[in-house]
Amino acid sequence: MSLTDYLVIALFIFIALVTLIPVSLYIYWHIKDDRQKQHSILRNFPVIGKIRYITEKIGPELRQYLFNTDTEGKPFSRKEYQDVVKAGKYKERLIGFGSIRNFDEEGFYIRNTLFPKLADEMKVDNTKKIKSRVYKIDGDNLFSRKEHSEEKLADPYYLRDEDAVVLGETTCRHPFRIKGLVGQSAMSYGSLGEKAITALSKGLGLAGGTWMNTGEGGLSQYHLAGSPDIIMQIGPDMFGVRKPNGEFSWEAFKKKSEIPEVKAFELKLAQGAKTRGGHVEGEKVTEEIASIRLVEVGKTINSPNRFYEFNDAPSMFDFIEELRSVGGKPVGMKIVVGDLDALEEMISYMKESGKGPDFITVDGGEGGTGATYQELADSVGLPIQSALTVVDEMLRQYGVRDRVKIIASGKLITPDKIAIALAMGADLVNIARGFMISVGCIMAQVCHTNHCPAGVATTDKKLQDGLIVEEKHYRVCNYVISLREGLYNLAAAAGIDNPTQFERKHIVHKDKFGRVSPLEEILQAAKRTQMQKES
Amino acid sequence: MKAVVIGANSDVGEHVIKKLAEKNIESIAVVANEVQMEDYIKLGANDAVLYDEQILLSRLQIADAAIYLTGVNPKKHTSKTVLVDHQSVSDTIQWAQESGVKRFVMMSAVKAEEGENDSSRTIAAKDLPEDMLKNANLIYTVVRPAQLTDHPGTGLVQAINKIHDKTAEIPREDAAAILVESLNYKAVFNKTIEVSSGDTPIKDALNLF
Repeated sequence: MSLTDYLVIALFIFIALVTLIPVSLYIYWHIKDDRQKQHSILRNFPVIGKIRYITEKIGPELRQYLFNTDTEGKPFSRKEYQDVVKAGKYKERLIGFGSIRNFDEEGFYIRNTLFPKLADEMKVDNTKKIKSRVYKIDGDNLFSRKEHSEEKLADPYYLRDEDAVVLGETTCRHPFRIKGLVGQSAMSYGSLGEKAITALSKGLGLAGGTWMNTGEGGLSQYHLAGSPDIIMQIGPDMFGVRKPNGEFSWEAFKKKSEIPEVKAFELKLAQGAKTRGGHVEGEKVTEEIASIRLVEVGKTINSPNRFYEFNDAPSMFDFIEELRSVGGKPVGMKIVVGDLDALEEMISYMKESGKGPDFITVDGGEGGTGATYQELADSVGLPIQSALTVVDEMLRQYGVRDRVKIIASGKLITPDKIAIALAMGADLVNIARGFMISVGCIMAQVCHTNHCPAGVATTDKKLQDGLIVEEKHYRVCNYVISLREGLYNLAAAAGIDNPTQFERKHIVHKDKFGRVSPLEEILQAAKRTQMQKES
Repeated sequence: MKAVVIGANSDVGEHVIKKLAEKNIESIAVVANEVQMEDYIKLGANDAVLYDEQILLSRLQIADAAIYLTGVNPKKHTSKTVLVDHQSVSDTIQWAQESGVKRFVMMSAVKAEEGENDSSRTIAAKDLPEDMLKNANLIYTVVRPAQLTDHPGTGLVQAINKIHDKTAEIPREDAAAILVESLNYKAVFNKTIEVSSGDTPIKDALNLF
């Protein structure tokens, strides 16, 4: 046979394969779909019905990249997401042309003054520069973006010493002084992988003037990796400060309180996204997790909804008193505002007894989580803007506002949102998802599955391969510095010399008809409604 | 030694104050705003004052040297009008002479290829501050840094008569170190030097000049 014959045969085989394989695959799928009893769509429309399942699967990504507009994505729009990423990557958040906010909708606005402050007049402490790294774009074309990373001495935008926020100033032996208003909200090791926690710890440690909340999963070596200031959270299951039988261990607590990085403790009563106890599958309780949380290896953990130690304000306050006297460090509590009567009862007891927490973390109902149920995430607990004003106002009414600091959280990932929260009564602001985005989160919304594609909310070693701690920790640092810088920009515009000065009068609410009302008016309206309800 | 730093409230100024403190040279920072005073004390200045004739005269009288930082920038330079407060330069030089300050280091900037033979008022006038200093009865050094960056200092520079590379850069920290070091290097007395990042340690670069 000649070469031509071989080629002809090869061509025939090729054509046969090209037609036969798809046809046989089609027949196989058709029979399979037709015979299965689970999906009606596939039984009625074999093979073609698969399109439904494929598009459903990649829907979140498609919407994010192609179909949602820049402002409509939830929980965070493309625009908000980009603002966080750019701050971390380039330490540069400039936008062009103009805002894409819908100005017809209602919302809060920051009141600028006629004669803003000059940069020279701001009370900021930039005396200690931070050695960070930023990216610079060399070329940005359709199919290629060339950029390089370079070192940068960045201004940290710390508060002046006299403006620093102090937790437990008069109540404990070691008050916690904070020279910045933004910190990392509770995220446990286990819910986030060791690499994400390490990158966060190193980035926050580098930035300074901030804090890291451990989440209820206990204090791990990864939280300590970059020596940031730490607020250790204690949930109802008291991971890390418990005896094997589940009781609170004062010995373990004392040991934790002696760690220099641990600056305060937070009792977690609830979380915006879930007012329920956590759940960890036995297979995830590795030896390491067990030793951090002080639980049994391999045993499934179902955390209770509430602490067994206390069930009302007096018993909780006694517990807080004891924690403070043993640990010597500030003790706060994290709550979700729902039942205003119960809240009022607690605050009135604060006044009556002279006891109470050093800080209250108010988590909005829109707050994030690694895993919850839709009904709890969507409809339990007030969103932060309502909750914050209520707590602030109640504390003022009972004359105890000066004894306690308020930390606000719930989607406050950009400087304007933070400034509005500060004006509404927050002293400090917690951010969780913003920090996740800064270490690579792409909002795939699969935190609960341990299959996070960015290697952030997963303990899977393979997926975590994608996350390089050394590279990401600079982004964490840049993000937090950018937020602080943004707050100083807004403060200057509002005519105040540092962002701790934000008050109610610095914001107004505009409704959808363009009517403007100050926050006080909204509060009074809320009070009237409450009174009408009571009568 | 004691040095007055005029224009300390600039990005380079912060580093100058730090470097002076590291070398145990007492410094008096002249700043624009009262709010900034405590920052400069924190950075290591022994005293911080506002720009005012009487105050400055009294501080210059107890000082041995003055460092004058202008806010010019090579990229802003080309075909723009003057960007330096000539009055303040001329006043400061005058006061320094009256107070018996001997050493005067001024930070200018590498200039674009313009102005050398241009006699117009807008462009040539940019040389005025440097010319005033050269004609004064002071031991001067004019340091013209290339484009300033926020990169951390490396301590490695080049100091030459004229930098022709328009893309040359130098971290602010290194520019500040050169200003401080040049106070004591005879090789650069009564000279104008242009500096950028390079591969020579600062002390050698100044000695070799």
